[in-house]
Amino acid sequence: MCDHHDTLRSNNQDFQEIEKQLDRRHFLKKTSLGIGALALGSLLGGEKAWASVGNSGKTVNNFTRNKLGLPHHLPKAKRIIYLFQSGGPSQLDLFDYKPGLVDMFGKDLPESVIGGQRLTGMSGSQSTLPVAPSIFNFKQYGESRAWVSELMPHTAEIVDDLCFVKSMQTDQINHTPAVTFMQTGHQLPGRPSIGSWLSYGLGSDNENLPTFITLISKNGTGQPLKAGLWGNGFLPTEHQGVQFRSGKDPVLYLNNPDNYDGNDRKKMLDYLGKLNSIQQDAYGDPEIQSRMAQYEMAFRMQTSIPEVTDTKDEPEHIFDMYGKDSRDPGTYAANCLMARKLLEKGVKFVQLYHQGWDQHIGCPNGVKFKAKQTDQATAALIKDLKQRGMLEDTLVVWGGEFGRTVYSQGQLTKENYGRDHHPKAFTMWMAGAGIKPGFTYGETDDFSYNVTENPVHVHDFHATLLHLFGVDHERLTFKHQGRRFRLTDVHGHVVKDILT
Amino acid sequence: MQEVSDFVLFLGRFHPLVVHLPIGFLMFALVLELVERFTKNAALSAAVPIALLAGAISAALACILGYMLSLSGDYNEDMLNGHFWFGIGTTLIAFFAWLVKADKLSIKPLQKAKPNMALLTVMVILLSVTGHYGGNLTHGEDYLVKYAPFREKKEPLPQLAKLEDATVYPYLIQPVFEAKCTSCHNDSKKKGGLAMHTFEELLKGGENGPIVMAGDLEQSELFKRITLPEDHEDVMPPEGKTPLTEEETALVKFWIESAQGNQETTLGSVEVPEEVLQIAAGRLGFAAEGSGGHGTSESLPTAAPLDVAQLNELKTKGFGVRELVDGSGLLEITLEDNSITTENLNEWEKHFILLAPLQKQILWLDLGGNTLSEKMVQQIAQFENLRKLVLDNTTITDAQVQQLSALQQLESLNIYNTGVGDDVISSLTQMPNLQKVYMWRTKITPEAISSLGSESKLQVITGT
Repeated sequence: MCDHHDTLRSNNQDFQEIEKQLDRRHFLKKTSLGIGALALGSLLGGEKAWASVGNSGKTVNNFTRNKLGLPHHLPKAKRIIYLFQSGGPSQLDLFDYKPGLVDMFGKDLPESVIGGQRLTGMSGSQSTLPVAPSIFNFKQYGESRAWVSELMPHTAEIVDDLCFVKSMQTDQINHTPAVTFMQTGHQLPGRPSIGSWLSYGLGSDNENLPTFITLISKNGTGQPLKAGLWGNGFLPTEHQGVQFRSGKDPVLYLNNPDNYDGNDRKKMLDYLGKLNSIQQDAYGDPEIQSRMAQYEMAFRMQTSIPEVTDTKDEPEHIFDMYGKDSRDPGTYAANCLMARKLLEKGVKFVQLYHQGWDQHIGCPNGVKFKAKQTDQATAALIKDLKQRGMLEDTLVVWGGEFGRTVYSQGQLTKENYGRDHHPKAFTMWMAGAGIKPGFTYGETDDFSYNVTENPVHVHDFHATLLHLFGVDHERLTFKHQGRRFRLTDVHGHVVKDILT
Repeated sequence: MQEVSDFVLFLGRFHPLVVHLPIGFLMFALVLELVERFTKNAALSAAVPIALLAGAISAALACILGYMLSLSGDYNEDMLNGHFWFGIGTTLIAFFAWLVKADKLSIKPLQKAKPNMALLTVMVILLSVTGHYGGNLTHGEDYLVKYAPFREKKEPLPQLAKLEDATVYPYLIQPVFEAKCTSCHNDSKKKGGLAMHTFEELLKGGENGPIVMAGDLEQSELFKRITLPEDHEDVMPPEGKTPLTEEETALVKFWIESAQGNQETTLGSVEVPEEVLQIAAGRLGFAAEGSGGHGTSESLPTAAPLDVAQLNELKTKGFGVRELVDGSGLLEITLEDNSITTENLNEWEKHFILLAPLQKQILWLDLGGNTLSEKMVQQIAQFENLRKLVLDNTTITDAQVQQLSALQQLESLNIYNTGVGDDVISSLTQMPNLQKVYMWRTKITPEAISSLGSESKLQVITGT
């Protein structure tokens, strides 16, 4: 057995031999990129200057001018919760009311509407594309007279706080590229996600918690989600989203195992930190710094996470507001409630996912089921943030990766239809910080198929989101493989009409 | 000026390459000589003449190539002269030193005075001076000491009260030129006969005449060159240097086209396209938002630059400090819940005094979850530019809200879960910019809220 001494055992000969075995990649990195690493190191050093203190999450310190020159302008938003409805919710059955379709029931969708668009392989070969009007009733609500279907009775109560964008457009027609596009600005995996860009650009508001957290409703069905959607891409690793488990223990192994009091853990981590510093000195790889930062974060999370994820102290009426699911950890409702707590503690970006909005068949039942799982908690979240004054500087986003077709995929009956993917028009809503409340932007044609007024592309959505955080989307860049990348690539316009 | 053949210029460009050979050889000769003296290693002595001869020959070659390069006319004549003569001097001394060291030449009266050492020392001094002049010619005079410690920094332009007051050239254009152009177009290095480090020089133009024609983009060589495709032979900045960004190009375009290419035009005196306005606002630290769809550009108050020591002190006391717009000096101040309690109230009153110098700079303040004293509230009431104030779960009272009604810029006030009641309504109406008040879990009654009338733009949020 080796005994523990304070001197580092890495100074023995074996260890040094291993260190000498530089592989080709490291050799090139060390020699040709050494200067680059130095520069990056100083960049990271610059970010350190913003590190915050304390643990309630309000105390932020970034007055040392950072190299990125952010924020570019006065922000409206301090934090965001993105309620991602994965699969592509049917705008036709929820928000985009098209009463004229009733008369078109079962008729073939005119080619003039489709306009030569390429359909998916799932419905593209159908002999007819029969128009399927929504079977659900729509009504107007609030002072803003927004149309909402009967599936979303709770959302209907808060329409005066929401800004519906009915003219969303994406380039992608299939789930994986479309979700990836929505979350990273590019259809191929590998780019940083929105949350990573914000973490990189604006830093942390609470050093005891991750800046960017992902929550996924448990027992999700349908298209899988993958970690790249909240990945950091080429940004330093500490900016990636931290995924919480959907269940009772959002982060595992926070508690000490039986018969271990945890007293020497700090010592162990300090020792590990020393080892890592030696590696850092030898290789100058900024990823080693990231790793050290993450170990330290994990240590602090042992105390900060139980405090923030424990909803025991929430009063009855709050649970009632979020619905009975909110007592069942890992559900959408419980995640919404936890998201509010995380935001209160200074987490900048909470990314929620709720899967299963992919109603190719049995659309009416499917959408109804999904709406029931999410509607009450979504509305409760808005109300809860509002009454606490947090909606003032919290941005809330609701939406999926694309919309659904007006025509039925598969057989159309009076009670049943399916809907295929549709990228050319879909509905999202935003609320809170700097967004016009009780407002509807953009219009679609009579078939909710083409945008007829004020199209908002995914790039425009990203540009607007960054704008609300005081970031000019053209000026937040990161140089990688010889080119400067940004979330909006070479596109994107801030949609000023929806800003207060 | 007579035409210089391209081939001569081609050779001339090898000067910066070759010039490093004599520097190395001659320096090394001195090193050898010194080591020989101290170690008494006579073998080294044999190497000195070789180093000197190689140095002298390469120096002569460098002189010839240097002369060829100077024919391009790209360099400041005065500085060039210095470099020229010192270079020739160094070369001659190097030959002389070789002759002496190699015993080809012996000057009796000098023998006693250790001629080798003296000659070598003089030679290296000359060499250094020559090299320094050469460096200045290539990189510009302030290259060497630009980042030197204790160097006086250039006087910054005065802070602007309004974006409209900004003169286009000094505030927006000159910084672009300094970043992208003046390293080659300055007093000492005038590529193409053009210097851009002062406005007067810029107006003179280059060897082909003026480069800026007010109001006429097509006739302005400057604009033409910076907008050429990047693989074009004449593009500026040339290949290998950082090109102007789209924003910078847009600014230059605006300056020539609309701002008459002069020094005096201000943003307020001409019509400014929205794009340019936004760029200018961003660069000069004004909020870039607010233009276009939602009203005229919202102007932010100007603030003194941040004093890091002062802010660090705030931080050590427990305040959170964040600059809201980079470089603006405008701040968000936050405080942890339960930092101030009845026990440490006196101590915190002292900490609050630290905020006094910042009272015009604080735009957002969050003291939620803390105990507040009279004095603290009085002080908050002095934060004249405060826009967002969060005092939820505090000990704030109706009377204290009345004091806060002095906050004329306040837009949002959060006093949820406090003991305030209906009396706050009259105080709230005294704040002309107030739009939202969060009053969930207070004693406010629906009657008091309805007394505001339907005309009021003030929104009282009481929750569910």
